[in-house]
Amino acid sequence: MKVTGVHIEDFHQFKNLDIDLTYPKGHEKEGEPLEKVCIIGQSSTGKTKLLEIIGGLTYNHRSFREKYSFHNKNGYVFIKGIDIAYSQSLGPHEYAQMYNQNQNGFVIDNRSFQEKMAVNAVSAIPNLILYPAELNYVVSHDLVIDDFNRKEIIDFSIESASLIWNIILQNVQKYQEEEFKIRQQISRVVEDNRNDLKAITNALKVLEEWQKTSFNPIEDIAEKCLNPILEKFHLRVKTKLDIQKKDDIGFIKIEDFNGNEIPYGLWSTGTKQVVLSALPLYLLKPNRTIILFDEPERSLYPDLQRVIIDYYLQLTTDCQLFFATHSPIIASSFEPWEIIELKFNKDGHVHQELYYDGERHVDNYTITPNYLTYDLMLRNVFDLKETYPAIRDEKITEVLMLRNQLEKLKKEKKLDTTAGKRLYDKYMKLAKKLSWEFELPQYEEA
Amino acid sequence: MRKLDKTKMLATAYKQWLDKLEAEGKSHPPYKSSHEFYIDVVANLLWIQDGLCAYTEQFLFDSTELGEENWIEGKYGKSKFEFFGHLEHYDESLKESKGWLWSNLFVAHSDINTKLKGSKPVRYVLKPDADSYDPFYLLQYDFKSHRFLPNTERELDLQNDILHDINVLGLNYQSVIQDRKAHLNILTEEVRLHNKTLVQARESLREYFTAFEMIVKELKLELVQ
Repeated sequence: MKVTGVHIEDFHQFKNLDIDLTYPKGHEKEGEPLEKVCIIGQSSTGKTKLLEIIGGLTYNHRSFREKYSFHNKNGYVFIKGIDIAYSQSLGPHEYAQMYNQNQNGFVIDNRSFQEKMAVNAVSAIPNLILYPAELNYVVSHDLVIDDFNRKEIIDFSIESASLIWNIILQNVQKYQEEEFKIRQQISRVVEDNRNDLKAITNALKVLEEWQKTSFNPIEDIAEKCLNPILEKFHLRVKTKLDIQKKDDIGFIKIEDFNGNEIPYGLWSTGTKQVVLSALPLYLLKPNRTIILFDEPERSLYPDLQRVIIDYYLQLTTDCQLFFATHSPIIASSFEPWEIIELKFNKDGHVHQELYYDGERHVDNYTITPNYLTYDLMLRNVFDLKETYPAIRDEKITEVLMLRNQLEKLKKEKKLDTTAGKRLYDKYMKLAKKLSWEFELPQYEEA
Repeated sequence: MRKLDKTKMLATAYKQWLDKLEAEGKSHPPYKSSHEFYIDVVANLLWIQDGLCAYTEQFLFDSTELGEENWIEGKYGKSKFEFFGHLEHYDESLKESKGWLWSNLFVAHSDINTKLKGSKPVRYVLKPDADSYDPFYLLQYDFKSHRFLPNTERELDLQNDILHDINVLGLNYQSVIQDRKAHLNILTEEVRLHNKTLVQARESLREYFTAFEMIVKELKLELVQ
């Protein structure tokens, strides 16, 4: 199920807010739900709230219920006047089956978990995953397996993301035990046939063959999930583990390029953020899932912000991802129709700033964020008037004045004087500090 | 930054009050926006400044609403109006003792006042109402970067003072440059490519007059026609 639109009649700062979440006319996927959506806007415009509304109303999520709704004797009741449209896999008819509307227009959901699962015709894959702005970085050593595979909604503002590791724990253990057995066999062969090189070689070949053909869950995580992004931290997943029993495995191990293991307590917050957000996507294999990320840029250096959206996308299949962000770098990963910019109007209500004129057609878009430099993004999309400190302007004016003074000395043939050389040095030093990022005046050749 | 004639007084009630204060050697009352003459001073200045920021020549308010017909017995007819600017003390050091001194007051863009100038001292080289102020003598305009620069023909010390005042008064403030560049590049291209005559271009201009005239001179736009 994917969201194709949101209408909010009157709720907190939102009033008559209509958001189209389909590809526009002229697009090869015209009318289909957007695969990824970026919500931007000034503080307090309601980016996180919009994420919660989408997630909360779509799956009647508990945290949303507690925050925004009230309950009567029939059950929990949603707020009147918020409508969410969905793609064909769960159309209005099915939606009506899921939720019964009462006479006041309130929506009541009294279905059991099993009923809901049946309606969604989805099993073993979560329908909704929520990543809050602040992930819980505490690694839980609680070995009670919280079976994520059976959860319809996974909300990492409630669950510890590290618990997702339990899904793979048994597979890792099995793999390690199998390897341990083969190594024990090799030891026995070596002991029994000390002078039989052929027997020893054959025993080693068994291990080699087994390693080639067996699925190594840690190596798979390393290659397909974490190493491509951990490389940017000069780290990688530690795949050679000395594990004798399940308790030894603990959480995923990371090492530097010299093979030194980095204890979890010494991981940077950026590393934790990436690992704890990527692992669930890799391990749960979300398919046709709605995934909500609040502030995906948290603790990430700009170079990682540039790639993180595509990285998350390639870990999912046919999902719909929503991101709420303050980062122009994150926003530049999106097409203009994928960006929802929330803005306050004069009355203090929030509306969506439209990036197109007239009909919502790909040819009518006037702002295309991914064509812009980050500087222009800040100015044209994030409405920041100043994109660098005021002193830079002062220094550019000064460097141009110095350049003009040098040009005058050149015409007077005084460049080689002491004053001329001093002025030249001053100019070159200041120009270098400004990275030579200023436009030189047009001078006539002497 | 245009030269301004601040002898054009409409706020005569304020002027009489100020002259009396000065004549009697009394200190100025504290400067505050709730003062009875605040709106009159703002309206008079904006009228003199043609609705532009006194320093950057950015548009602030439609000054046609501020002409003589809107004044009654030396006071502006409205008790308040909204404009994108602040009443600003050119020399901040005088604000405490002579907060209502006419020659020290201008209306400037709010960003210049709050984000840039603040209480930075000025060197009185670029003062729009000074007798000696002549933008074409003191300044030159770099069309490529759209920045005002000190006129290279002046003495080096004077150039440094001009540079200081350019920076303090925000003549090359980032958002001003962007706006000025957008306006004047279009206008200049229209003249160069014969879409507008110079007369039409001048008539269509409502801000950044000084920069445009310097561009006309620099690019010899008079000859394009």
